[in-house]
Amino acid sequence: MTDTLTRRGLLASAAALPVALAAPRVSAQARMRLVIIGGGFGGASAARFARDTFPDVDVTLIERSRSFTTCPYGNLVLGGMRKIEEITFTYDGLARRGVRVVHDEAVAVDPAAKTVRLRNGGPVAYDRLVMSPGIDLRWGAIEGYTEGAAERMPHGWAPYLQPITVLERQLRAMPDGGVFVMAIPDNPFRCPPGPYERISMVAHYFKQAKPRAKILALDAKNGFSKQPLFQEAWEELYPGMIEWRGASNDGRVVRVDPSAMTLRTEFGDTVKADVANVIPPQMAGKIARDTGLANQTGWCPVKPQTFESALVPGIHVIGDASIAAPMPKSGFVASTHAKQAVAAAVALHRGQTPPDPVYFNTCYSHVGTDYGISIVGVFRAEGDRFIEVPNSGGISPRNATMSRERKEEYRRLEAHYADGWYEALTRQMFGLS
Amino acid sequence: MPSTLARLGRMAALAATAALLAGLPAAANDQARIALVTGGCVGCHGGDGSGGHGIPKIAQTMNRADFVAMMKAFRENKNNPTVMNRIARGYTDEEFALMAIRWAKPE
Repeated sequence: MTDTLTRRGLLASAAALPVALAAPRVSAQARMRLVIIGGGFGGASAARFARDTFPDVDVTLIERSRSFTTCPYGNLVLGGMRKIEEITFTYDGLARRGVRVVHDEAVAVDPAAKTVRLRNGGPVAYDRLVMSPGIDLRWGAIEGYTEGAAERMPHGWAPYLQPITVLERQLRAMPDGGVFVMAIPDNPFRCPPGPYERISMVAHYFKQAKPRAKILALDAKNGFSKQPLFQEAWEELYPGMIEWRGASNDGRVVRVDPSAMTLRTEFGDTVKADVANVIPPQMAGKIARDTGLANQTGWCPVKPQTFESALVPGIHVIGDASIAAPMPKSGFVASTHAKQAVAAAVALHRGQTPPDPVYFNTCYSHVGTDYGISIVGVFRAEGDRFIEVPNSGGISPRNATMSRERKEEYRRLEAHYADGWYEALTRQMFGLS
Repeated sequence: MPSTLARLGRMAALAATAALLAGLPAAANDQARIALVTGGCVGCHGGDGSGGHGIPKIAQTMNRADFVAMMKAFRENKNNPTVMNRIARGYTDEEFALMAIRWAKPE
């Protein structure tokens, strides 16, 4: 590591030398204009980090909405543990800290002219652009699952398209003894443990309010994040309530009929639901695709050291829209993409070598009262790919590896830490502390 | 411990040299690197390292050597950790030293 840093230092010096000698560029030139599109976990974190770390850079955040409801903790609204107001934030804190917040929609980017065209306001010029566009849903990828169908069969997976409260109301109105059916997509998708935390939180609600209700989860894959921890917890907390069916057990949903409230699987099983939650396949947000940042997969390839697009120079694509496996598409990891992308963008603009990245993810899931579990990961760039640092990270220990007392303490601690994690992360990104 | 600090000193000197040649104040590059390496810490412990909801305060609670020793102990599953053992195994000794600059008592 010392050797790497030494080489880095020398490289940085060598790269910077001609620029420094040619002109006192940094001091004499206009301030760097860093523009960020999208005010979610990636974009808001980028704005906060840029404002704090680079006082001599102008930071503009373009975000169409005046408030942001987080995906994380949305499942706790379903579980009755949080109210939607408690997971909704404004951009006032970032504005107070000196971020220029523009509430408008970015409708086009001209990478040659380095400008962003807005729906209402005039064009915004940038020296470097950070794009954190989030996801769009692939309407029609499941036959019959259109925007209209999503009113009867909510997705609850993209708060700017549909608030989680639509699904919440349907669950509250469901009769005891009813069946809640979920359709869960194949990888890659936003928030890998999210559907399973949702199963848990709905079960938590049913256990209190509708003890005869059942949950059927139809999954397009054969395994999922934190699977042994979730399944052990379901046995323990909600015995007999939850059935999870993977792809090899005909779990893949291929068609839905919202008027009949039925879901049809790959091999022809038809399932009737009282409430249906369909989480469809996804892709990078529209502005990224329109700008030519996505490849044939619908997601955006990036350079692992900088998150600069592999397809269009000068634009850094972060968060769920990027192709960054083995990192998960999570809010926390988007916040670490953001910091590296901002530091790299500033370095590249100044003719310097970007710093070596270290990316980090922590993701807690609530499974029940005082029952939390986690997954963590540390990631680095290696050539043209991302790697997870060997022998690091991983999920919380399984029940059998601990004494009963330690296990109860561990799950309780992780539930509390989850609340601290959510609070720290959101307060940071929205400039509240 | 002395070797870590010595390496850190050499690294800081190099970073300062690079920054000087680039026409920047020496502190700017160091500060960015420290901010990046501690980017994971703040996600749970907060931007000021004050913790909350049972997550411990890490700012200004120990000296640098003790901070680095604590992180190394987490790597060995010591101190009854929940996530810190899994996290610490992903970082290098140099990165622990950079974290200590941000979180430990000033020296």
